[in-house]
Amino acid sequence: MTAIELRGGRRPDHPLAAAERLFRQVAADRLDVLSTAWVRLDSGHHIAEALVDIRSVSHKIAGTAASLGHAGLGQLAEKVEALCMNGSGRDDLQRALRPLISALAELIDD
Amino acid sequence: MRILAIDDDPVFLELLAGMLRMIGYAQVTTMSSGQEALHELDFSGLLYDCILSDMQMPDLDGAALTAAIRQRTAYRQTPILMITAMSGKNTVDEAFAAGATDYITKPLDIIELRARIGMVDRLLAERRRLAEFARLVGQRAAAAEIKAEFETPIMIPGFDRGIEFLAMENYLLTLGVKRMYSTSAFAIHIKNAGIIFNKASGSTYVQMLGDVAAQIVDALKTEEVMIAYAGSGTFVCMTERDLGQATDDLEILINIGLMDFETIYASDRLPVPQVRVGEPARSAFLSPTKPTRIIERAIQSATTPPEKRPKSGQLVA
Repeated sequence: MTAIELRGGRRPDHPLAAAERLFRQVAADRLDVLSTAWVRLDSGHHIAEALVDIRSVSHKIAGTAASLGHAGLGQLAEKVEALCMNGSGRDDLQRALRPLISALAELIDD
Repeated sequence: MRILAIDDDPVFLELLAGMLRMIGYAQVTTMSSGQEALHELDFSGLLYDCILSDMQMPDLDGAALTAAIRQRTAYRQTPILMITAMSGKNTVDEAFAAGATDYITKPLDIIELRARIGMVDRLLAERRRLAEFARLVGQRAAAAEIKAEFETPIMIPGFDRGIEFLAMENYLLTLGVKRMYSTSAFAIHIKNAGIIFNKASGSTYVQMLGDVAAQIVDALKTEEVMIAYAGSGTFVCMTERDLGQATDDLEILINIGLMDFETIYASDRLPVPQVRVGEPARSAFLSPTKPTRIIERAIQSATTPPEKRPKSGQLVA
């Protein structure tokens, strides 16, 4: 096998179809977690918990999105994860979170 | 190859299992935590050939899991590959210190996955071959040292796909005229076989021949080829079909595979064997010669550096 079509995950018979389905199924939960964390950051309450949640969810998205053909989503998640790891400021993190949340919402609507 | 994969993200586990299926590894069991994985290793009754574990997991992380697995006698040498995000590459050092074999980066790239798992596969095959070799050597209790003569076309232990060189010559002699002309032979010569023969013990030299044979078999696994060891560090391959790959590519493939054993050879203070693949030789129409002439021409091509070969393309015997 020399050429492998990874983006075929949307075809039901593709070997990655189950992973793609699961990725979309958990997207709603992940969107909820990120949205809640964003609100916490904005309000200034429970920031430590928010950071843990954001890092965990962005790490998981960054680890799978690109392999399933969602490269843009993967890059956004990578950026958010990097900001969490570097201890960046709340404003930077919120700015980076916005497009990630939007992209996840688009995936759910797709 | 039976694989155990561990990650706390079910999406990643599904993705990994899917990708492994795509590259031909379907026996994959997945676990969502290190504790579950250890329970599986201890109580499932299955022996896994390879373990793939995420580095960052809650409770038991990849390094701690590796250390725990290495405490189990059955898994002291099992390849353990860490899976880590690019940003976490520096943390892999801890896992290596705990006994990890290699690592794969997230997001998964199927080319990288195939290369890393392929290396594990070759390593396991080599271990099986060495175990078989040790068994055979053990059987020859009286012979503490194997006497290998450089020029002799010996049978290499564990080289199951190989046939005796004499049998290959005999086979050629039995071919009718028509099949004779559709048969071609090419040889693979270990350029530094003489050096290794002079430096190594008999058994180490035979093991080296086994390493090269294993790489040749691996590189030619999709081809219908008959292989024999002709002595003097040269293998001969014979086929009635055109090779699906260029001899240059075959040479690169075998030499890259052999580089996996660099540390093993370095520990014996030996150079890694390096091969040269010669041009295919065929019998010429209307020019009757003895059938085994194509083997001689194939060996001559492989033992001659390309710049010193005649420039007429394919050799005709």
